[in-house]
Amino acid sequence: MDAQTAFGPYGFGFGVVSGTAVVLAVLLLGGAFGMWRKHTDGRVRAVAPTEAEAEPQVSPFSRFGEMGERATIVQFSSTVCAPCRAAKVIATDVAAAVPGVRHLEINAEEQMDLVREFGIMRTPTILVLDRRGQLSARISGVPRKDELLVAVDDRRFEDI
Amino acid sequence: MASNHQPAAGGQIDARGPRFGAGITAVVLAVALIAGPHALGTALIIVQLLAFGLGSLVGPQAQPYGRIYAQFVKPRLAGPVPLEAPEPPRFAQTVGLVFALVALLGAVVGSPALFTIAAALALGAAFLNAAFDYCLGCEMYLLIQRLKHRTA
Repeated sequence: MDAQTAFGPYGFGFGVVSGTAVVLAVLLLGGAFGMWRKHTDGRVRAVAPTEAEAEPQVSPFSRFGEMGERATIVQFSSTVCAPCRAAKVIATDVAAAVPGVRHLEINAEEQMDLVREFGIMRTPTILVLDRRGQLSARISGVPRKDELLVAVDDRRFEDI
Repeated sequence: MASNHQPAAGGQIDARGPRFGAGITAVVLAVALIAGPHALGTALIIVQLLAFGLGSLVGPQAQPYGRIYAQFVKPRLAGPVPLEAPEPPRFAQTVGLVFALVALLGAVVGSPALFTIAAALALGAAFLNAAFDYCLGCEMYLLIQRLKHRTA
């Protein structure tokens, strides 16, 4: 195979330079995204309490299992989700370690209405509900155990 | 070594296999991009297309790069085997298959832009998988389901 057949009309020339530039750009962008993602993945983000302090209605999650007296860890999972199992291990560990905390797992594919209502973009996503069943924190990705332990103790969010 | 090709108990596979395969995929796609949509680049895209096709239509245990891992790399690794379900890597292979088909189409109809964009997206996904264990196809999965749900 001569250079023109293998690399096109310019031979081993302009095409190779621009192709290399594309490869470098992809690796650079991918590297930056991957590092940003590694930094933010699994972090607990506090959710500001809603204005209305009215008695909460029946939680849309209560039909998936018993809600925790202190907090409920609601995990959205799906079939195509490698890290969901690791997330489940951490969530059940936390639920077992802290009295009054329960873990519920929801198959996102079967509950698309809840996925839309709570703006779930990927699995695993974890919603932490406080003792009243109100959303107090959310975690996208495999949760960091130390942060989840703090998040289920919902007094932390009284100052926020 | 035949036992290395078999999925482990419960249909689970060695999670390191797909990640190793993503590394080879990234190298193949990078060379294809550098070579451009001509004889060499197109040949590499076809090689990659076949690898994605086997991984997607048959399953991760049939993926040629996964076979290389099972045959030559895995026997050298010590320690516990991290297991995962085969569905996520299989879905990622399907997403890769679509990108590779579009890149091949670009080469065949003489559109360097189409070839480059499709191959670059596939390279980005493979690189993220190999370097960060980030499965782009899996992350897209729920978003695709949401779009389907909206139109349903």
